Amino acid sequence: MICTGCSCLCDDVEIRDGKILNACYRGYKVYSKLSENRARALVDRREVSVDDAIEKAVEILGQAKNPALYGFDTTTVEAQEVAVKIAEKLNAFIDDNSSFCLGEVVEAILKKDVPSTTLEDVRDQAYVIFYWGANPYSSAPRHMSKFTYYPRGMKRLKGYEDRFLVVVDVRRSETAKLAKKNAIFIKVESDDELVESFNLALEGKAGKYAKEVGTVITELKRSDFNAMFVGLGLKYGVRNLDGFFEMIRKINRVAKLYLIPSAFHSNMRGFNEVLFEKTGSINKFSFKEQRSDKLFAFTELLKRDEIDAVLLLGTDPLSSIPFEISKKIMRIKTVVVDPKMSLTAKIAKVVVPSAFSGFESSGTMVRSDGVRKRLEPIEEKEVNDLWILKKISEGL
Amino acid sequence: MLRISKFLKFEVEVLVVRDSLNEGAVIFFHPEFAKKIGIKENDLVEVSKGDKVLRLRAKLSNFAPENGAYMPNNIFSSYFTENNFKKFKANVEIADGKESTVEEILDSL
Repeated sequence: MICTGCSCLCDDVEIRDGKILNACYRGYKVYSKLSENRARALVDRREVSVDDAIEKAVEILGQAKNPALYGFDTTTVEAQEVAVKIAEKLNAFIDDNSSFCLGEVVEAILKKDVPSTTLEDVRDQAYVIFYWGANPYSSAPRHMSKFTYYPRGMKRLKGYEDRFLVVVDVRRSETAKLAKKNAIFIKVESDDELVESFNLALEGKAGKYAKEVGTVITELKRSDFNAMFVGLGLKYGVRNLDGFFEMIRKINRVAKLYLIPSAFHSNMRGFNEVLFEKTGSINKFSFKEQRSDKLFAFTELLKRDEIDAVLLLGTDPLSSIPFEISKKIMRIKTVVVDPKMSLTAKIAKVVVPSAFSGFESSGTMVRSDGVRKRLEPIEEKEVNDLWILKKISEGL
Repeated sequence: MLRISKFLKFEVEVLVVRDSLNEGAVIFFHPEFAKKIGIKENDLVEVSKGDKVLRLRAKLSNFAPENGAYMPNNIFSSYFTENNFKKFKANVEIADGKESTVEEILDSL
């Protein structure tokens, strides 16, 4: 079974005699709590049939003057494609978590602004394993053991003994604590200063982190294959990511360094790729204006009271975005499609219960490095995201 | 015994991090920093920012920033965050009573 607990999409998880084998604690948690707190079909918090909930969802979205669609990072590519079609049909805004997560990194990779590679190639070849603003211990617990630092690979026969680990963070995280032998932990107060130090070092000058950067560049030059994984700590640590991407390009003039986003929701990259293929943009898109803009991010639309209805699928804004913004959901008509009774589902106008993609429904997802994986669910539920979105699309 | 730290209030920078093992109304302090501001493991602390106030359970962790704290990303941390989703500054003081609940936050809607 493919585990959809995070964007690693581990393909060796097994369910045998009711036991979950090979899963990390995140995957185990999702599977072991699969039956808890399941969503029920609701309209105005009264229980209804799934068909009635979908009918009401169609009515709300069809009558809305400025509707938005948001989320879709834990569903399949096939469902994401239908969501984009619905947004087009409604002349609506469409966005996902990547607009405040690692969307810019995925965009730079899709536009080939920075070099990227696959996790299998990292396992087989990478010498320097570089985590910047990422703590895979929590976000993707098997990242280091299955794909990057620990496993043996074709050119890394001794596993981590054949690699050099670099960790950059504002705190000594669980991952940073692993940086002991053949490794360096760079504790930063400002990520921008470290970017500047790399740029200066490449010009032969010394910046604030000259010693640490010198060590890293020396190690990078020792191999023709190195990989950097970036997380939200970087995204919120630098003033803008363009300067960081420029640094990556500069490093690549002296040593090969591939960039991969560290981890996010199971199929965030799938959403970015689906929308990119259709529109040339990865998120924050308005079909009415036929363009992407930071003003069209779901959080910005809420801030400016610009939308009157929203279809949320597989996301829980009340938990994940600042409360001053997410509470504005109360003022608009909200349709939630989710396997769980999320906090946002509790205040929604309509709730349509769905299946867990990967565990209860099949389809395709895209791993953080862009590799597509075909899901192998343990059961196939008829009422899943794709089925629900198709029904809504037909109703519109 | 009277705890002097009960009458003190400190401004603390709080990081918001993914922490799948620890959810709920909790805040993590580095043991050295907690000692400095007089907070012990499992103290109930009042975290406030402007007119927003939550009561959280204090935990000690070597993975916390050396001069600050972290909270798992959930509705309790989202309650305080603004444009930077990953950190905020808030006042912390020792409190009495019970931890804040999700329902209390939802009721404020």
